[in-house]
Amino acid sequence: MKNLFIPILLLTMILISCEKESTNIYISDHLFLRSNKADMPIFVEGNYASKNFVIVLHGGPGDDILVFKELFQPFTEKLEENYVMVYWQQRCAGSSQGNVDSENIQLSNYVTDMEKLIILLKHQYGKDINIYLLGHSWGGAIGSMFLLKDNNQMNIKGWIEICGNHDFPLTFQLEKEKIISTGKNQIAFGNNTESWNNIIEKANNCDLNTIEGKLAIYVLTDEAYNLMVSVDSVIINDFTTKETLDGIFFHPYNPFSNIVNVFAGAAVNKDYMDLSLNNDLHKIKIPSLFLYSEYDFTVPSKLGHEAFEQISTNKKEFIILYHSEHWPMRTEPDKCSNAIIAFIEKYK
Amino acid sequence: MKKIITSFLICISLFCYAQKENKSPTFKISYFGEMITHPGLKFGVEHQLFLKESRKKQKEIKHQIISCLNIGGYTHFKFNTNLFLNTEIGYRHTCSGGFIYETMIGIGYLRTFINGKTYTVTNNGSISEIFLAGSNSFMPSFSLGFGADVKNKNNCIKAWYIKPVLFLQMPYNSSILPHLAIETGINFQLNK
Repeated sequence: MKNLFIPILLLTMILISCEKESTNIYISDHLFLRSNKADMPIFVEGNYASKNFVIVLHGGPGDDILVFKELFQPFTEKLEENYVMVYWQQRCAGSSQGNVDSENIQLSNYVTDMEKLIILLKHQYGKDINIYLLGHSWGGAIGSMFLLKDNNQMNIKGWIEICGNHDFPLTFQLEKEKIISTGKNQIAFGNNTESWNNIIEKANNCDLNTIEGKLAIYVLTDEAYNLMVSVDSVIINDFTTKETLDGIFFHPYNPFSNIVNVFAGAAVNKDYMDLSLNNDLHKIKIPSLFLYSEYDFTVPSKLGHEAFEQISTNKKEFIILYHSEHWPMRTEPDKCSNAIIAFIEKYK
Repeated sequence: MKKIITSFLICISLFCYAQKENKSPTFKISYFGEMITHPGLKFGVEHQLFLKESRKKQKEIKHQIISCLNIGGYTHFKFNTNLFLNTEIGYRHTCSGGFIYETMIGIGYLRTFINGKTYTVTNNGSISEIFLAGSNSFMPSFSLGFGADVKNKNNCIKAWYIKPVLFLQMPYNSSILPHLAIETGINFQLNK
């Protein structure tokens, strides 16, 4: 045994010296931010080694961040392998708690919450962390609002929009145009002629100066997408029965909270329906990535292209997802995550 | 709000008065699963306010008005742990074969405690942690129960039951949050 001691010691020392320094420091924290009567959950998960933090701004208003986190897993997991993902549940949305009244659900409250969130993240994880914003749909609106306020861009390393909406009046107009133009193309190909004629007629009758007209065109976007799923290149985005049941019985929180919060958050609707930031986007000067989908009737890709043209930086990219609608993180997860990783690596 | 507190206090005092009249209250203990899977417990003591008995083919049928005082809680892992105190009143029917069904309505107080460190950021950027963060809510409830009498008179366990419960959390973001729960447990008496 005595004879073996020295060789074992030497072998152990060699092994230790050969061990490569780990580049993966995985963190998984959950905390809450209380701001103006809202108690908002924040899930902080991913690889801390690079000190790159990506704050997810979910859609809605009112969506559940847990859907983003859990159901888009091939997309989020890949990002978590490289960066720390910050899943922030906005006020009056999903599993957000508290007692937010109508006075505390103004557009400005979302921006204030984001400012506080960034202060909190720097306090918890260090002032030297790099912060990126990733806004999906409605998240594009609050992300843009945040970036256009004061010197907020100084705190952000990069801006990523996935089917983001930053100009609602323009979006309704583009939705109408896309429905009509797509319908005409489909009729020319002889696809679902009767249904498309019906949708085009309805779209033409929508008066976008009224709330009813805006809501009607929004409903038609869904009908148009449903007709397009018969086209081979569109990847269908439906929840499976298992996902639906899991969402009800194994939802980490009360599944009704999402519904209640969507209606409670509807108070903000009157503001965001008139939110138009397109003419201010030239003030955005940080590196930006725009990911938009070919078959997205809800936020047509033309809106993203407008933003791409408007912002005042050469460090910008525009990518079209050719097989997706409004949720490309789910339908083309690899393409989305690879584009984001390439963007962050390029501009970090 | 005043009306709610007043009616809550009246119910409790009615309950306490009723307990004075009966030396042997019935206790109950149950699993209280919000959306079935979010685990919790509920303890209660109940009292019979009214009883009418009849017989059918030598078998006893009971019509009862029951009041209960309960304390309980359940947890949403990573979100919140909730404690409640409520009082219920309702009708219970015991069939000749021992089968029981009942319906209860109740009011109560629900306190949520956030499961996780909760921070607040002031306008000048300073951060502080909030101790026992959560919120206070009014909790009306409605339930339909099914169960059966335990036949053995010497047994301290008097019945078992299962009941779906609908309760509301008010206010919740200026609105009302409904909750569904399954309550399943036993009724027992300490004096057989």
